[in-house]
Amino acid sequence: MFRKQLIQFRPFIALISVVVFWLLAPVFIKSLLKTTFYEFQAPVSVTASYIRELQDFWAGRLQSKDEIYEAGKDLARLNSVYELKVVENQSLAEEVARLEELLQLPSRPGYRYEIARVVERDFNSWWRQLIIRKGSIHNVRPGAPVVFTGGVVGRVQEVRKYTSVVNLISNIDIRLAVVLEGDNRVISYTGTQSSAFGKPRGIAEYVPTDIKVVDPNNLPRLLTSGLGGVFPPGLPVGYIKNLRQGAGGMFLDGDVELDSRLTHLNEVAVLIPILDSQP
Amino acid sequence: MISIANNRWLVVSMGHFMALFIITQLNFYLATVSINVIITGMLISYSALMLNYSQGLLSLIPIAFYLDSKSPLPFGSTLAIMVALHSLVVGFRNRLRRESIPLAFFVSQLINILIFLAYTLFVAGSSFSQGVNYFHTGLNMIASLIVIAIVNQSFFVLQTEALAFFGIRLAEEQREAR
Repeated sequence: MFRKQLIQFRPFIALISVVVFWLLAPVFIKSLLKTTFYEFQAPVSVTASYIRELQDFWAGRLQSKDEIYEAGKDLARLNSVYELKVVENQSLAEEVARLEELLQLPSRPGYRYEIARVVERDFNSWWRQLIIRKGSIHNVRPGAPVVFTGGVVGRVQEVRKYTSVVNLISNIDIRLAVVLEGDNRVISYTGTQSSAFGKPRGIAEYVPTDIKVVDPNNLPRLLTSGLGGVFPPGLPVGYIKNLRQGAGGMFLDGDVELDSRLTHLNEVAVLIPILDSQP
Repeated sequence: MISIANNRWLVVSMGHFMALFIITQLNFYLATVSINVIITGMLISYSALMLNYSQGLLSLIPIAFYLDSKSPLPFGSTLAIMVALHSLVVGFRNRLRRESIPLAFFVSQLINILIFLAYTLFVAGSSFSQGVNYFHTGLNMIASLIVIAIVNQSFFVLQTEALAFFGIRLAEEQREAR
């Protein structure tokens, strides 16, 4: 009789045992299991991303010759513009270096761009993260800034051997020191609740009261301030859409509209600091 | 030699992993509209209704670890949720006609709703608690329920066929057990 009752409660006894075992299990066992399971499935996810690229390649092959010719012409035009920009940037960099030497300023940290393809997009209502195809063997480190052509993407949260997890800028646990374009007063930026079918959003806090949002076609633009040393200064973050009285009453808070391309990124760049010892 | 009949959880686990892989690819494209589909309820439903308790549990543990390895929640959260829901279904399944397709459909949907609730509770208890948009969560839940409604029957049939390929005939075993 007792045995029969025990069998009836077996699922719940097993459940309690699993929970108790898990609570008591040492951290290194959990960490080892997490890494093992992640690395076990990583090749599958990475292969899927290569297959997607192959699909894109074959889709590209279906384009007509006229379309390819037009695209080539556009690219040639862009290339010539970029070549001019490269020359312009080189002369500006030389000018900056000359002024830094003249004023005896400490040199700013340099970065190299590690281009990475997006393997997975995990955008649910609880968290938003990307898995990219670059990991510790490419010198990616936790906390490294991630950018794309539209500005800041987020920050590297976890680094594995061949892949990394990027925490998106719209996540609630991301906080940045930003400035408005043409203004040097520091504002706090933080991610906010997710929204379906809409652009990714954030919140600007401690906005000075003299800042106004007047023209919806000319919204104030937020850029990274360079404070904190994670993101280099001047990277676009988003636009302040509206402003309201902040909690303290001395500053304003505002909704920040982030780049809509953040939800369908295929390629990003991880900024890796160049150490002085590196060539 | 390893007996597949005694280790059927391996076959079921591989099937679960395949299903999750396909849904991950779907989520890659749905991310453009910030919709995320979760089908874990369907996986628990199959393991709990079609396998015995231990085999079902063994088939779910690798899946839970796989999901946990990619989630920012404390490692083991998904394991706790999945083991609890599996135990719950197994605890009640003797009172139900478990080979019935409508029942499997109902259990998959119910478990998936409970998973959304459990995840929301876990997230609400963590540091990023202000980040939960309940409307968005509801929308993701509806999308997931629609996907499960479409694929549940095929998933159950495919998993059963995969077991049959290795000589494991669940229907016959259940008839004999009765």
